[in-house]
Amino acid sequence: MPKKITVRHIERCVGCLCCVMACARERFNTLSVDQSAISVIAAGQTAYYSIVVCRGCKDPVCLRACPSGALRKRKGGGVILDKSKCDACGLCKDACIIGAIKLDSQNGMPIICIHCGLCVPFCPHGILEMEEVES
Amino acid sequence: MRIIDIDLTKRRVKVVEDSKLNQFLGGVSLATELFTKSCDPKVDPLSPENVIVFAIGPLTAAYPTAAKTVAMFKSPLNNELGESYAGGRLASAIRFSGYDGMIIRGKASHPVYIAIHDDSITIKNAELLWNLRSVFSVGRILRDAEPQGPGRRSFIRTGRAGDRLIKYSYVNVDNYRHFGRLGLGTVFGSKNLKAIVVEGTQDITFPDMKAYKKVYKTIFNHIKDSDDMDKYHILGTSAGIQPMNVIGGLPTRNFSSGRFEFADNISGEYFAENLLLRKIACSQCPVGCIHVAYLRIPYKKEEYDVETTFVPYDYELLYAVGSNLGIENASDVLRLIEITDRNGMDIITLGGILGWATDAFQQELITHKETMGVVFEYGSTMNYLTAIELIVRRANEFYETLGEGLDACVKKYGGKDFAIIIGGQTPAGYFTGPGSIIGHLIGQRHSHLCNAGYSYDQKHLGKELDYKDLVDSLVKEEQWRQVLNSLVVCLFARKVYNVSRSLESLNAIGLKISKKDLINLGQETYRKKNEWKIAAGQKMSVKHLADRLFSVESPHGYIEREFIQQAIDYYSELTSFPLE
Repeated sequence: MPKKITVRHIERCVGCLCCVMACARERFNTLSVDQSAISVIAAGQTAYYSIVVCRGCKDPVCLRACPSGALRKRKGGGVILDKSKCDACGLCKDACIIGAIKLDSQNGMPIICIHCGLCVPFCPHGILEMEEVES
Repeated sequence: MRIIDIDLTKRRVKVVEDSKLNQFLGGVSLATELFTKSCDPKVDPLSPENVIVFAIGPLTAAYPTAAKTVAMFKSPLNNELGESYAGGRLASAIRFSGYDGMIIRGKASHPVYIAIHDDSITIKNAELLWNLRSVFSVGRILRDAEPQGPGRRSFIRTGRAGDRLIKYSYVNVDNYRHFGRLGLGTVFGSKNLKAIVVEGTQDITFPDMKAYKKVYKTIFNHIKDSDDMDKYHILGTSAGIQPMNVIGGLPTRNFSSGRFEFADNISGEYFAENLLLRKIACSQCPVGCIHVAYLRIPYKKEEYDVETTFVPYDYELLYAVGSNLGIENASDVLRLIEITDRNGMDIITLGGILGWATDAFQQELITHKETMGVVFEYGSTMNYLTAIELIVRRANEFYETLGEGLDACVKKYGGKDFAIIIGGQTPAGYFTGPGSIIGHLIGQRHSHLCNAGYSYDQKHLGKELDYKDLVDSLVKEEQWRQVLNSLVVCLFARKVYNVSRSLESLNAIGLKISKKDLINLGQETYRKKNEWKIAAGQKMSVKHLADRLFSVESPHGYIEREFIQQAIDYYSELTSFPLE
């Protein structure tokens, strides 16, 4: 069965950013907080951290917003980007109101999670899991 | 190296790129070079001529635990070289904004803060932030004023104490970490500098990403799977309270004993089981050693109204305003930590001063007249809370003096025999034996983190100590720690980053350096700092140590002044450091 990433225990997050750095390093081959498809948002002193990552929609809102056909459905949920068709309009980003899509500051194209799971082993508290999805 | 150079007097900002600085690698080695070249050793620490340097290292943000920033300045507390480290998100934010270090000179004409967003560096008005009641409010306001980059940005700022030039004011980093010791916050205050915001979006690529990933994974797994860092993750540094009490090395009631009968009530175990709210981590550190407790104080009890605050706790704080003041329960210790933190003062220094004041009051060197009616009494939380407010208010001559540091108190009111001050500041919480005292004396920061004295004591419990071996091993260890502090990794991870691992980490990100050169860098940094300290007029002395340190039994029995003297004489022979 295909899998997708899920944030199982957000209450356990210590805000170390190891998942963020892992995505940048393992998938995008860079040291970066921005070039990463997963974000950790601090909420000041008084609230939990938020871990923002693609939910793996079966009927993705971002795909429906894309005017150039650059996004196609991924097996198991979420989308795959075809850079050759992307106009860097940013409409997918606006459509994803949970904030899981960032735009690359260099080329304006979306940075989207492909549910590869490379970040999962780098969470020291086992917050992230790969979940099986019925196809 | 890319260095930000700011002159607050002239309101001039420039960015200097200098490849000649690359030989210094980063961190404390880079900071030492920048600081000693730009700050006259004879300068008045509160004058515009004092200089603040910040630096990060080559491993910053790239490897687990490499989340510390070094600050260097001349200390207004003891007039010596000031060196302090803080975690949080600062180091990572400096890295991703594209800089290796920062120099701040001069004095602004009115309160300002500095905002760094990648290439944009601006000096902005901070009059509205001056004298705010809480250092946390300063953070909240700045988060709205500088909204870019939540999750990667860093806010460092002073509290009211810094604005009012209390000599041991700290700089708060991202709420829960601090440049705690030696008065960096006071230097900020003297420059009319309230805060610095850092945020950036740079990406960094290393020549051989495959090699880098491999070494990263090894280190990450080492930290995750071995027990080398368990102490820090599980209970945090406060794990040390009980074992230190068992061996009789937990300073209690101003060092009048090494055992605290209420240690169980303020132990790491007690906090973790009853008051721990959450653990949090510095950026890129999987350990998460920051332990935050919740403090719930009812007011208007009949209406069930409560004040709830979140208070970070660590070993040093539990000693300084816990056992050392005879505070018998954990919530009361949290109240003392909270008020000190909110006002922006170094808690270790404050605890030492309140301890001295308590003994001085009991011996009638000071009376109600000086204390404005406050009874200084061990265990009396409410009275200490009032005293702390009065220090921040600079309420009268006595409280002004408490704000000047322990040396000033002794000069004015006496009580030298029980003024626990080593090298111009109150020591960390380890009354373990001669090693701890010698470590504080010859440690370049007179602090616990740059010397291994108290662990030397513990390793040699029950054995006769040899002062030469002790000094040799402390000097060697401190020289090596100059390397770790140049990388800059957290010293809690010193077992993880041994010599070969450090070399491997550097190599994997394309920095080829030999073992010999790395060791030399540590020695050279050590030497250069001592050179500046000597030029600033610092002398090593045993005379000023309080009699109390020699009349209370330590885990090594009664410590002999003569032994400390021999060690200092030997240190002076080794390093040509002048004796008083």
